[in-house]
Amino acid sequence: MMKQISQSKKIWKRFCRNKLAVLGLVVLIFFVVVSVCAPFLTDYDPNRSDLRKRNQPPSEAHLFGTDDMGRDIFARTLYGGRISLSVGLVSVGISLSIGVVLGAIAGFFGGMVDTVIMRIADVFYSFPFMILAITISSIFGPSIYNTMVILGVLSWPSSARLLRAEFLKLKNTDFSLAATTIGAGPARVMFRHILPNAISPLLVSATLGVASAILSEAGLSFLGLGVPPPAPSWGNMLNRARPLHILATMPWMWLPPGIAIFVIVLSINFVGDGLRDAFDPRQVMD
Amino acid sequence: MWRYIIRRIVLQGIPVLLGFTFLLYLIITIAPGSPVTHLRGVPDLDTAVIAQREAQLGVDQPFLVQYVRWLGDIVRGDLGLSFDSARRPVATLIKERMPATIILSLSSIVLGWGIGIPVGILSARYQYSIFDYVITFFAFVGISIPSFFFGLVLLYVFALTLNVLPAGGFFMAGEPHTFLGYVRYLLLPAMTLGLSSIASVARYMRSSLLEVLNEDYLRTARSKGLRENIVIYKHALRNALLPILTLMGFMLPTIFSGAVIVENIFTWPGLGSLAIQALNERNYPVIMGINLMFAVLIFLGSIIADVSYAFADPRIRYE
Repeated sequence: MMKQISQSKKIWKRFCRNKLAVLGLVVLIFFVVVSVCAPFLTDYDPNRSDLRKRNQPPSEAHLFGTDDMGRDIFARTLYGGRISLSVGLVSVGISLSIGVVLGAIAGFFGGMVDTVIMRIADVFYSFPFMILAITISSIFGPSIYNTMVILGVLSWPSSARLLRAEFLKLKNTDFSLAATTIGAGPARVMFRHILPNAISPLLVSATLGVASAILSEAGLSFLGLGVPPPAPSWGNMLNRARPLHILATMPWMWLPPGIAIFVIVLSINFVGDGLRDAFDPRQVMD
Repeated sequence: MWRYIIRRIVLQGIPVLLGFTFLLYLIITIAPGSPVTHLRGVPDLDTAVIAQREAQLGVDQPFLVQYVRWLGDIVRGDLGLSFDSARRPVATLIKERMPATIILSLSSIVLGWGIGIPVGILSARYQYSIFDYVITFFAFVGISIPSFFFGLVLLYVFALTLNVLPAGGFFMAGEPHTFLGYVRYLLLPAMTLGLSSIASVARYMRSSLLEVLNEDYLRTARSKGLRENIVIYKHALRNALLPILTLMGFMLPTIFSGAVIVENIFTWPGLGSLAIQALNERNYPVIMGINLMFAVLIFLGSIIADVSYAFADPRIRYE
């Protein structure tokens, strides 16, 4: 137990040496806190429109102004963060659960099972994600839950590939052979003994996965095939601001959601990169 | 070499493409509503007529039968007819839109590689310099900024505020197709689509070159007195460029995915905007055709990337 604490402390210390990663983490925590506390930070209901106050520029009453239906953009940006973050987390959760199980099975058992699973992964890997996502979304009808499922189901192959490679590397190590020798069944060896040793690359890929899921959700919603209005999502806010006259004369409608997506994805990428370096055992600690 | 290419197509390409068509057909089939649903609402319409129509379209057959029949049509180049009123063949529609998508994707690839490679080289050459830090930071920005937001910013600045470039579209009716015209219409969409490629190519190039710089043969080159520039640009670069070639195959799906969004922002008349239009009309034959077309393009791209890799690296033998 003592050993483990010192190990995670070492990783944390290495993480902290990367200034951009620390900055990313701070910004990310800020975003999470701000969107979770949205009801305390604004009195406006993000979905309530006030037709007397349409297209208003930023003012004291409306920090980021109002949109073409008189809804408060500040409130919509805050609440939109909840949707973006939850879609990101849930869809990565889905893709990890599929990818971990299939990748582990493929890597551990090898042979025919491996070939079949990896060929299926190839199928998912070799077509343009966005086209299939919009196709499925339009067939089943855009909704926040469908968006989560689509993004999760379409992106499992990358974690499966990663985990398969780790399992191939680890299944013949002494500790997993020892576990088998003392009578542990395959499931126990796979998930109790090997998986914990493959956790660090998985954590890095999950972190970066959240960033790309947030981007994809916003992209889908931007095309009108992700989170449907009136629920606020950064993507569908940008979609609403696309008419050229809004774009040209009312930048307060599209700058806040656009900057929010950009900053949150950037900070998650910084954190993921920092984690990768921190987990890398080749990095010597001085 | 030819044997490798053929094996690659037969053993890897065909199963993957078959799997893809199966998945696609399955999704479209389990979609709520069938091609005859709209008939059910019509009064005075006998159920026998509906059944007849179903039989005519073949939708009363079991799933596998329908799938195999559809696959047979596709192999013969028949992608079916569009559902819209003109009932034009899907293959014709796709043929019309394909060039625009190819032009856009190719120019963003050229931008990505043309800018990304030199920037990555310089970044590795002057590792830990200010330049390197700036490039590393901007590479992060490039992969993090959503294309639809970056596209809107470019539109706002260059088309709506400075008024120097068109806000979208691709040649008005009657406008002569000059080279300058192509550049004017292409610049903003290609930049939007190319930005993330520039960033990721630069990152890969940097780390690939840094890896090669640790190799023994570079120490040898230096110790026999070669100048640093020759060591880097002649000895190291050739080896560092190899992994970048494979990157091409990996990035193609991303580029096509991006094209869907970018075409939409700039009303670019390619497959991406056709796809959105078809989705809004629930025009399934067109959607299937576009999905299929992209899968084939990506498959061809990955073969080209593999083959060029094999050509460039004499250490690789595909026998």
